[in-house]
Amino acid sequence: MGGRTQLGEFEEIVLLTVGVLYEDAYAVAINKEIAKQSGRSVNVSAVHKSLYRLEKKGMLESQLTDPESKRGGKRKRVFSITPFGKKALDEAMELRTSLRNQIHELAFKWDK
Amino acid sequence: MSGFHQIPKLPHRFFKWYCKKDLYEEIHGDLEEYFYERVNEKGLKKAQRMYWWDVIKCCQPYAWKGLESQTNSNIAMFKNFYYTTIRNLLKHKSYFAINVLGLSVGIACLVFITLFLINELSYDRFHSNYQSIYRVGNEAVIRGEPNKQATTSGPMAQILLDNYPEAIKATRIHASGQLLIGKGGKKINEEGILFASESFFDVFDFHLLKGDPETALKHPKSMVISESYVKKYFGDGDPMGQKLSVDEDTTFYTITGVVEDVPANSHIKFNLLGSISSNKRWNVNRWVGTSQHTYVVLNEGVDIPEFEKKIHQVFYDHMAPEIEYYTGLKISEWEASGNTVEFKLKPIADIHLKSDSLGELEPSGNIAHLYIYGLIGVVILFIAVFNFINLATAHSSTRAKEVGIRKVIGSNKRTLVFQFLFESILIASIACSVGLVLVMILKPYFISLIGKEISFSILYSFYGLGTLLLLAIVVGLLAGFYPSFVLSSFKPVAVLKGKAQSGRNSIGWLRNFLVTIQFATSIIIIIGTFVVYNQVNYMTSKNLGFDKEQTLVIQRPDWLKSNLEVFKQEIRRNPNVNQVANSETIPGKNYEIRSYRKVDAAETFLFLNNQVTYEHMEVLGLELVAGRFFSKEFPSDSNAVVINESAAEAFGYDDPIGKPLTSAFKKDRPIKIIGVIKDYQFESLHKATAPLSLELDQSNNSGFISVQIVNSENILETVTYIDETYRKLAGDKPMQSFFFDEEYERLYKTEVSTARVLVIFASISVFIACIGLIGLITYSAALRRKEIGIRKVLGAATSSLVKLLSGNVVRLIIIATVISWPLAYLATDYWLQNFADRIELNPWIYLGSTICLVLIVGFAISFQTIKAALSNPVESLRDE
Repeated sequence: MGGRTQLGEFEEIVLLTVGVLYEDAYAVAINKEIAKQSGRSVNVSAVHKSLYRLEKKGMLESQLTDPESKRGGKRKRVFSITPFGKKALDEAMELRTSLRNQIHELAFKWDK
Repeated sequence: MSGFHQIPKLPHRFFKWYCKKDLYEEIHGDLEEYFYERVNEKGLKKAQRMYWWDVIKCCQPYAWKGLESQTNSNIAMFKNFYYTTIRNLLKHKSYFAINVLGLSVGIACLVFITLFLINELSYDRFHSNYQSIYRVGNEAVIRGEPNKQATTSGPMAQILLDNYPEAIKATRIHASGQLLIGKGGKKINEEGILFASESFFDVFDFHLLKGDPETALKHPKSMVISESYVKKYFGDGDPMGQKLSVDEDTTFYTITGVVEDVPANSHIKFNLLGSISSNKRWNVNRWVGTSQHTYVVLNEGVDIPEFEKKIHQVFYDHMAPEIEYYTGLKISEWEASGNTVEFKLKPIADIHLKSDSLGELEPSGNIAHLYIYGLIGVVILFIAVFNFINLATAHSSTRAKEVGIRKVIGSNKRTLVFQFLFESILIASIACSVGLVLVMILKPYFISLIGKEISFSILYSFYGLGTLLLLAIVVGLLAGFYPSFVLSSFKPVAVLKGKAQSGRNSIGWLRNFLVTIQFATSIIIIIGTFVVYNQVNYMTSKNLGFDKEQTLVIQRPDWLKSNLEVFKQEIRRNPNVNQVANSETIPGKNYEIRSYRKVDAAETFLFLNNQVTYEHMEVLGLELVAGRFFSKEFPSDSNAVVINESAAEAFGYDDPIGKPLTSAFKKDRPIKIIGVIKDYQFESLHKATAPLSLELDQSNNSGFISVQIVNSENILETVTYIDETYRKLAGDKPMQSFFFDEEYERLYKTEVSTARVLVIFASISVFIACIGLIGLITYSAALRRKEIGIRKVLGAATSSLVKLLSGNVVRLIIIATVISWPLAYLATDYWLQNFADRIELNPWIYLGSTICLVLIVGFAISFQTIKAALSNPVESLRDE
C-alpha cells in the first residue's frame, strides 16, 4: 500500500461524511453530521484542516456555491470525492476488513 | 446582513489579519453560520464567546497568510542576507573586528554592571515576607547633632512583641568582632560571627539544611554553621552535635544546625550563628550604650509613622530612667535642651542602599555609586554603538554597488532596510556571544575589582540568556537603524554609474556629532576618574593630625588579663619598639559618648570619648595646644580630662585649663580639664571633626594596644617578637593584629573600589572610542588616497597632509571639551557632596583630561595619518 493513499482516522471519517452528504458537503454540515452520527463533537477548525489536506492530497475536489444569507452573504465551499478519494477509501476499508478477517476466533475467546 | 454587527470586532479583525485572503470568505462564512445559529439557540453572549474560541482554534497553519506560498523565497532571502553579511565581514576584516571588539567589550561591561546593579538592588528581597520585615533603629539628636544608629537595645524585640499587637514576630542579633574558633588543636580567628535569638529562622528565610529551625538557637551555647564552614571545620563528616570552642578554650558551642550559605545580596552575613542566650551580657536589661540589631515582622497594613509614634512610649518607659540616671537631668529638661531619641523602622529591603545609620551589619551601598556605574555601563555601550553607526555609514560606498544591483533587480527600500538591520543584528549577536565569553573569563577580576561577591547565576538562567538575546537585537537595531536607511536610499543609476559619494557631505554632520559625543563622554569620564582618584588620595594621605604609619594595633588585650602591664614592659624593651599604649578605641573605630556638665550649670555636653593611657599622645603623635597630657607624676589624673579644640569651643572656654566639670560616668565627682589637644580627624573624612574627650584608664584591658615601631627595615622580625611575647603572656592564644594605616584605609573601601572601577571603565570607554576613530581615519585616508597622491605630486608637505587628515578631529575635540567641562563639573560636584572634607576644584584636572584625550587620540590616529601622508603617490595614482 503506497503512502499516497494513507488516511488518518479523522480524515477517513471526514472523507466518508463528505460522501454521505453528497452535494451539500461543506464544513459546517460535515461537522454537524459527524457529531450526529458519532456523537463526537469537534471544533470546525479540525474539519477545515482535514478538508484542505484531503483536497491537497487529491482525494476531494471542491467548488464555491452562491452566497447565502444565513452565512452573512458569504459563499461556501462544497466538497466532493474524487476517484482517487474513492480508491483511498476502498483501500482503507479493504485493509480493515482483510485484517479483521485474519483475526483468529481464538483471539476473541476470553472465558477460558 | 442584519446580525453582522453582533460579531465581536476584535476577534474578527484578528481573524482577518491571519487568514489567507482566498480562504476568508468560506471559512468565515462557516464561522458566521455557526454564530447566527448559536445566537438563536444559546443567546448572544454565549455565541460571541464561542466565536472567540472558534477564531482562536482556526488560527492554524492551513489558514495562515503567506507562509505556504512565501516560505521558500523568504528562507532564500534570509540565506542570501546571511551569506552577503558573512562575505562582507570577511572581506573587510578590520571593519568587522573593530565593530565586534567595541560592541563585545561594551556588552561585557554592561553585563557586569547590570549584574552588579541587580545584586545591589535585590538586597534582602529573597525573604518571602521581606515587605513586612522592619529593622528597628534609633535616631537621636544630641545637642542639635543628629545621630542615627542601626541598633537599639537588647530588650527592644521582646517589648515590642509583648506590648504591641502590630508586631507578630521579632528577633535580635548581636554582632561580635573577631572571635577565636577552635576545633581540636586548630584555632582560627573568625570575623563577623553573629548571635541571634531563637526566632531568627522564623523571621528570616535562611534555609536550614539540617536541624530544626525552631529550636536550633533556643539553648545557650548552640551554634548554626554554614555549608561552606562545615567543609572548613568538619570536612565531609556530620557536624550535628559536634563542638567548637569559641574564644576561650573552655567555652564550647554545640552545632545544632547547618544553614545554606548566605546569599551575596543579604545584609545579614554569617558563617557561624550562635544563640544569643549564650552570654549574660547580651541579655541585660540596659538601654543606654547597648547595641543589638532588632528586626520585627509587622502585620499587614500597619501605618509605620503611626506605629513609630506609638512605640515612643518605650523610650519613656525604659530608656528615659537611665538617661536621667546618667545625666542627672529630668527627662523633660533633657528634652528641653534639644535632645531626642526616636525609634525608627526601616524596611529590610531599604537597609542596604537607603541607610545612613551607623553600626550597620554590613557597610551600606551608596546609591550615588549605583547611578555612576549604571550610567557608565550605558555610556560605554553607546560609544560602541556610535562606532558601529559611524563605520557603517563611512563604509557605505563599498556597499553602494550592491544596493544598486539589488534595486535594479527589484528589491525595494523596505527589504534593503531589512537586510541591513539583519546584518547589524547578526553582528550584535556575534558581539553578544563574544561579550558573554569575556564575562566568563573576566568574572574573577571583576569581583576583585569591586571588592565584593556578587551572584552570576542569573546570567546563565533562561531569563539571563533571553535578555542577552534581546540585548543583541536592541543593540543591532540601534546600531543598524540609521545606516540601513542611508544605505538603502542610494539611487541605483547614480551608484552604478560610479558617482557614489562616500556619504561625506550629507551624513558628515551626524558622524561628527557622534564622534563629538564620544569625545565628550570620554572627557567627562576621565575628569570623573581624576576627581575620584584625587579625593581618595587626599583622604588616605591627608595629614589627619595623628600618626598611623608603622603602628601595629593588637586586638583583644583582654586575653593578657593581668599580664597587660607586663606585656607592655616586655615589648618596650625591644629596641625597634618606640612606644606602646592601650586605649578603648582608635581613630576610624567606634567612639562612645560621654556627658559632661560645667560644675554650676545645668547644660549637658555630650562628647565622643576615648579611654587612654599615659603614652597615648606619643604613640598617636598628637599635638598639645594648651596644658599638659596625663602623666604618672600627677596621681590625681584619674579625675582629669583632656579635650580637643572642638570640645573647648563647645564649652565656650577661651582658657579651659583647670576648669572643673562633672560627669555622670565618674559618679559626679569633680574632674578637671588639664589639657587641650589640636583637633585631629578621628572619624572618617565623610564627617567633620567632632568634640572629643580623653580620660585616663591605665588598666583598661578592652580595646586596642597600639605599638609604634621605629625601625622599618626588620619589621617582620619585630612583629614576630611581639607575637611571641603575646602568646607567652596570653596563654598561647594567637595574636590578632593589623597595621593601623591599612585598617584606616578600609574606611574608604567603597571610594577606593569606585576609583578603581572608574579607572578601568574610563580606559575602556576611551579605548573603544579610539578604535572607532582609528577605523574612521583609516577609512577616510583610504578614500582620499588619490587626493593625497595628487596633493603630494603637486608638492604638499607631509605635515600639511597630516593636518588635512586630522584637522577635523582636533576641531571635534575642542567642541567636545566645551560641552563636557560643565557637565563634568556638575557630576563630580554631586559625588563630592558625600564628603565633609573635600578637594578643591582643580582646573588642571579639566585641562589635563582634554590634553590626555588629545594625546591618546593623536597617538591612535598618527599611525594611519602618517602612513597615508608618507605613502608613495605613484602607488595610489598609477592604476589610472
